[in-house]
Amino acid sequence: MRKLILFLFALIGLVAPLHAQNTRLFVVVNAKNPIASLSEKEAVNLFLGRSKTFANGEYALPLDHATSSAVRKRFYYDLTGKPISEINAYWARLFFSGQGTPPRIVPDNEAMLLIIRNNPGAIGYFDYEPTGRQLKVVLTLDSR
Amino acid sequence: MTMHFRTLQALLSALVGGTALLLAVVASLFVYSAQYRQSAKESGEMVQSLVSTVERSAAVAVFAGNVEIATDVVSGLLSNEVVASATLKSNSGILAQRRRAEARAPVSLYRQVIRSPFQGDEPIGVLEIGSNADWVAERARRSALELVAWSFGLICLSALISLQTIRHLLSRHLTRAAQQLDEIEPGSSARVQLPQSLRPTEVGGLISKLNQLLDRIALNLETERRLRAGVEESARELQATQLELMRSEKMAALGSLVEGVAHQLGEPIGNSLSVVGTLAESTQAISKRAHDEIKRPELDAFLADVACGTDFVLRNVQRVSEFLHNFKQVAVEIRSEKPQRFELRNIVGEVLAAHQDSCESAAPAVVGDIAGGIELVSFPEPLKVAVGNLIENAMVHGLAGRQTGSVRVRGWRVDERSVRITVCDDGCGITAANLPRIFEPFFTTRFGTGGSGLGLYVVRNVVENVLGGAVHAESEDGKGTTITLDLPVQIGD
Repeated sequence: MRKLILFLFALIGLVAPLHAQNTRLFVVVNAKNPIASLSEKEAVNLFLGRSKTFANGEYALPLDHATSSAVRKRFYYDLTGKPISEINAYWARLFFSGQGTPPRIVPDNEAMLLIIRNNPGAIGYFDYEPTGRQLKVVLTLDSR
Repeated sequence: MTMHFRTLQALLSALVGGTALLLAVVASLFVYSAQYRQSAKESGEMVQSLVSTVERSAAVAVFAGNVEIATDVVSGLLSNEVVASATLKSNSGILAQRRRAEARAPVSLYRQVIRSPFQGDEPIGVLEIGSNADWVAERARRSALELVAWSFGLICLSALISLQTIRHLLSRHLTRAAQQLDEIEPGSSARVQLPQSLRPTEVGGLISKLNQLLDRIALNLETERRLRAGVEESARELQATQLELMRSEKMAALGSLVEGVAHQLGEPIGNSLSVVGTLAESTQAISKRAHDEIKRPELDAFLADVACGTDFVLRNVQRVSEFLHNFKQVAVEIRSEKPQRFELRNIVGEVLAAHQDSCESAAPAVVGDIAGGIELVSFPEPLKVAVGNLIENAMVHGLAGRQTGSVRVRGWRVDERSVRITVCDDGCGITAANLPRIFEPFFTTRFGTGGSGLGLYVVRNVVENVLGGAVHAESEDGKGTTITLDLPVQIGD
């Protein structure tokens, strides 16, 4: 009987992460980056161009997915609660003023992973938890 | 200061114009204050809506610390006239600030907290907007002026229209009515005409009252004319009657005069005639005898006859002479001599003394009671005649055959210009039937017993024609008679 209950818990423990993997987003930096974690506010400031550097003064290189991709839409929505159109309008406004540049857009997850592995200031996001020694998850965003 | 308006229209114009001006001024003040409040409120709303329009841009500018966008937002705000100043501040300092050069201190400052566009409600800056007081006031003034101009114009227009209407309806007709009234002769049948449309109005009422007045005037004039004609007619008749009456009165007076004179003279003259005739016969007879022989007794008898006859004739002729003397007094007239100044008491005293001398001591007393110091300027002799005749009359008629009784002559001053003399007895009086006739000539109750009927007639004649006064009698049968003379102090006054 106890075995049965343990099995059930184990089952839940197995199923829950699988489910979580589909609904969560992971903000990832190079493993060499000294910061251990990132607040949502810091993430917003970095990805929306308010901060150019990390808390330790390291220059940041934010990376973005393709403009029309679903993960980008989800990321900004989960981070700020705003629709992607508003984010686009924001960048368009800043772009026309000639100041501030939006995060660099990469074509896919692999390209993003590559840039993060090779660049200690890079910061990106994924809809799965990427593995690898050169990577470090600093923020997990729950779905809103 | 009073102003005079020659026409109803001018008066109304002044009234309406003044009222319109006053209304416009009051309305402008009222509207201005209302519009100012309204404008201030609207400017607040406008600022609010501007704020909500630029809020996102401001949030972006503050979030990204973007000076260009911040400047853009602030400039955009200042392009609205309602904004006098705008400041966009982030938490770290002022991003952009603009102020209208000509603006005074702002009416009120709107503060809008700028929140992060991406992170909940975290305040990241402040947008301050001052609204433009000058603009608010100017806007209120403009709209108030516009409203007042419109209302003033409308009031003036309606005043003009009503004035024209009044001129058309009232002044014209009133002027015409006045002209008509001017031409209407009082008493004629013409009346003021008014158009049908105005008849039920106040003007119509006025004109109809005026016409009624004209009707009444015409009626009154007609009545008066008839009355006057009647009065003239009766006056003519009266005059004719009076003339007739006077003529017959004159005839009657003449008749009675002639009758009285004939009577008074007839008897003594007739008597004398027959006596003289007898004497003439006797003289003829004795003169025939004188050729022969006259016997002594015959001569004595003739002489006695002659003595008796002449005595008789003498008495009769004396009576005639006396009568004629009296009669002459009737016709006494104002003599050519001048009026004399005399004391009334003295003159009456003389009359009383003369009377006392001429009658027996047993006769009733005549008492004089004349106030002293009354000076008359008049004719003393006629006055003596009048008073004497009155005393005589009282003795002969009032106190006839009595041993007792008295006659009282009183005199006093009535006022500055007249005196009154009364002769009063307590005798038998005069009957009511005779009283009105006592001053007529030859009226006497003692006809044939010595009364000539001229005594009181002479009194009246003297008093009225010579002394310029008046005489009247009061009497009660059995209780005496009072005859009053009212005489002027100064003759000819």
